Amino acid sequence: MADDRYDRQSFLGPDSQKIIESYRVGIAGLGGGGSHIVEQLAHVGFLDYVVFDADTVALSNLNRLVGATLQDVERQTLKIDVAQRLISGLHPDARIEALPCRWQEEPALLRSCDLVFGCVDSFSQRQELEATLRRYLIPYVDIGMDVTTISGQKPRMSGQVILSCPGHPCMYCLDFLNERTLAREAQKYGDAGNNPQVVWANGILASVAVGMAMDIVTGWTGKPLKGFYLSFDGNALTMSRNHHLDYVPPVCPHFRLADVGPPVYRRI
Amino acid sequence: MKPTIRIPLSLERAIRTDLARPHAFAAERVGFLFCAANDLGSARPLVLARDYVPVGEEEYVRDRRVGARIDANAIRGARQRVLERQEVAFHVHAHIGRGMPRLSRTDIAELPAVVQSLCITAPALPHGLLLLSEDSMAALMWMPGLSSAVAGEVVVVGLPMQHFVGEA
Repeated sequence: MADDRYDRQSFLGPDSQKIIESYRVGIAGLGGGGSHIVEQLAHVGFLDYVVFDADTVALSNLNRLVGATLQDVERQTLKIDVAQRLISGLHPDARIEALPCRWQEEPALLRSCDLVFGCVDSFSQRQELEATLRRYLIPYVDIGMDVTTISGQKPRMSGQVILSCPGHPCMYCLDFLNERTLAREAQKYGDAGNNPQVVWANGILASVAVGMAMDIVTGWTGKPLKGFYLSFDGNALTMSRNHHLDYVPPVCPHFRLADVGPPVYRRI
Repeated sequence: MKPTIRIPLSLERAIRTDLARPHAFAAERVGFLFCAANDLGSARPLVLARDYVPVGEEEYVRDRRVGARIDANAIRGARQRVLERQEVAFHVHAHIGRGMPRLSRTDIAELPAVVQSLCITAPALPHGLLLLSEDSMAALMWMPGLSSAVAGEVVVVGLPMQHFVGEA
């Protein structure tokens, strides 16, 4: 049985499964997007995880949180325990560091990851996560979605999948993060309720993120990625290459190689 | 305790390009890779590559017994940087051929002394050797407080990523 398990993905390369198993993946946030990502990574065969989420399963999560049940709401199960259950059901011997906290409270474990998926809610959290991962030379795959309503019009659903990899454009280079956006967020992120999230959009974005990660890990397409920023139109159900990729600086000016490593405080 | 050494792909390419340049008389080239260190006391120490500095043309010494011999100035320059910036340093060179590279007898006889001089300069930090082949690489590190060297896991961070795990 063991030999058959990954037959259908053997096109990824002769040593692909060994490579996949050698990676330590981190997931910050195990809500709608993160739960999809965990499930897919486990199916693909990743065996080493660091997962962060301080929340328990609430009734309002059941519209999208893959693997969660009504019983989890009643028992106030932690989202990390749902993730652990998903992974262990496929890999009883998987190594899982499941932390009921924000990643900032256990940064050493985040630093130990080879690749991190960010499924966080705000631009400021993305900014913080990217800055930390760049400092420790860790590729960061970000997903997110939002629904915006303009008075008199139908709601507009949008989202993104972004790869921020050292040596490549960052989220500032891609103009996904900027002072304007961060300032606006201080007022509100989306205006169709509190962080609108739906399972199908989360699933699409998570699938693209995992697909991108598989190329990073195995290089199976043979076409090196040069930057990755896909925009999701949730009304048309399309993903498209974001035009900001055409205007990135040749070298990221926001995260310099000289700044890699822990912050150093110097006396002025 | 297996240290992980992360090297950005752009830096790895710069190293390979530099080491492939012919020298007036030396058969191969040498450089130093300078890195930051983190979580040294943990089970997963991290070494993060910042900068590669080639050994200068005039810092090679004629010696037909070895592919490249560098002079005291080259080593002194690396030690000075390690001292001033408290960085981890690797002596870097390449072997011809593919697959996981192994140190030659000459490497084993001569290079640990170079690393020891770096360890004396910044004893709280690990230092080591980075050996490249045409398609792989291996790192050997002397960790603070340990008498023998340990093999590191080298991760080239780029698209795609590459992992190289050597044996001590």
